[in-house]
Amino acid sequence: MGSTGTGSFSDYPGSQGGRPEKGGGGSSGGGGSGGDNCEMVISGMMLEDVANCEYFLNHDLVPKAGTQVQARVRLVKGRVAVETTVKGEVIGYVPTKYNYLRARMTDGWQYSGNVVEATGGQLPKVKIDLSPSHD
Amino acid sequence: MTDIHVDLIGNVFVDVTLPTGENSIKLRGGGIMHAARALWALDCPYSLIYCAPDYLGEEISQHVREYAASGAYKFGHVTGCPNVMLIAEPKEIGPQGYEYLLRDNQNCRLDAKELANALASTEPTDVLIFPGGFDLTTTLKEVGKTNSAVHVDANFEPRTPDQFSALGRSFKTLILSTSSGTFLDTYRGDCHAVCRDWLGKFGTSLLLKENRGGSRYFQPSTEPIAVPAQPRHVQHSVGVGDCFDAALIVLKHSFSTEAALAYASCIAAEYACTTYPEVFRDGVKRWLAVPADEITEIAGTQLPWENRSTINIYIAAPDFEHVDRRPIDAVAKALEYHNFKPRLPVREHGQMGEGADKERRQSLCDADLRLLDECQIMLAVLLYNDPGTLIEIGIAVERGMPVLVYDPYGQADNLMLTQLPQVITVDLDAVITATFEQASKL
Repeated sequence: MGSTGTGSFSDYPGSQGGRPEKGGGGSSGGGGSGGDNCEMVISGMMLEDVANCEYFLNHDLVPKAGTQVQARVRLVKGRVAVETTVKGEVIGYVPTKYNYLRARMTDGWQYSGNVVEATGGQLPKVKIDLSPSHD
Repeated sequence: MTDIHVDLIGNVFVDVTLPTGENSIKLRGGGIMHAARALWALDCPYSLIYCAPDYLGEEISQHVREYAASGAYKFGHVTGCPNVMLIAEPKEIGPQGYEYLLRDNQNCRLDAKELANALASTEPTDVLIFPGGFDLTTTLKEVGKTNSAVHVDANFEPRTPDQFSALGRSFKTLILSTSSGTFLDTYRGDCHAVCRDWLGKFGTSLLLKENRGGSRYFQPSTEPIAVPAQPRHVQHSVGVGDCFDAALIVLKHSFSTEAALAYASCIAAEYACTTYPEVFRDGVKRWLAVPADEITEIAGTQLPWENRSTINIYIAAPDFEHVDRRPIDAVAKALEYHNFKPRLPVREHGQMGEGADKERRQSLCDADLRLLDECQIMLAVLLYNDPGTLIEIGIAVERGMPVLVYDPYGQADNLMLTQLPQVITVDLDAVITATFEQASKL
């Protein structure tokens, strides 16, 4: 009859609509959307509240570009904190839209990377990249 | 959670999310099916006690099998309409545009005996009712005969609380959303008036869900417990509140109210981020593995409904008659939907018009700057490189005002324009989320 679109419910567990195909994180047939984002690389993330975090308070400066960083597993003041890999000093917090990283870290995902840009002064800013890895 | 059993009472719909630019059409079970998915993901035993047209019988049986329901009992026979809900705007950036097909022809014949039989068979610890489209008084009378804790999501019905008394005792949880007609029309958006009318008289607690501004849980004679919303890149908002309800009532059996609310908020956000049930369930398991003492501290966006109307948002845009102003209208409508106060300088002060003299120009310029003084946030709509819009952005940045730029056509390229505002995006949903985030920090 010339109709298009989905002809039946498409989101039963275990079916094609239960989860996206490997490597496909977005939309699929049947209008499914929103894949698992555990494996997603986060590039150019600006950390928040850098001026009030341990690293800046201890050193009165921001970490250099290239400094190795990682997301701390346990929340700090309700936030997902990013710390230096070597000394574990908190540099800043990830924006709250990435709070899901805390949940992802409960089943073995780790998020590490490096500082890509940093500026000091009155309003210190730190930009990082984070990549996932799994035990 | 094996000692808990939840009965979900309400309609089963077919939710049809209409295609948008980025997503194709989506068809799935709606109504109480959303809460059912949450209970499945939480491994909580549950049953469906539902109203639906006959043709949905097979689909509901399949749901019972696939989503591990203990059983399904049909107590409401729907005729005259297909129980199909068309959803035009699934992300709830603004009004969702629900269209219940043939609603005026809907008839539901209620089978009270079957309802009583279902309740006796399942012996639920909790009953969660989603009223709408069936005889609530008869339903409550039957449910009231059980020993179960009873919770009601009154988002659609009843419009006045008198019907609650048919339960014959107090509800454990009364649930309302700030988007409901009851909240907006009957109570004029006044949560304290709802509490005065409902708490104590009809229920021992009231959950007010405030969309992207979080939720508050009220109990008589105590301060409300506030829980932030988790800002995420959502795929939809359909049934997210129902999912919150189900998670809360189940998790309250194992956790403090504060922790249960925080878990429920994170689980609801997870539901909004996917329509794939297995991805959702994985997310739920991970959140539940976060210790309760951490989850109660988790940050997010907290902005009570009534606080938003005092937040003036300056809409910087070429808001002129000769321009296609639909993106500006969409922004203003979305902000009003969420109870913010958009301020549109051209509409408030008038268009300058061709050949305006110096005095008129100065008067309009002064009026716009005075309006900017009254505003706490700037939301610029970049329809083209309009000098007025760009200058206003510069002024706001220099004043330290949060600046959000909605760039619907993806034109922004200038260094200052892309780097100075807090947010610049082609996505209206992201603009509204950012508005909540910035407003909550004021």
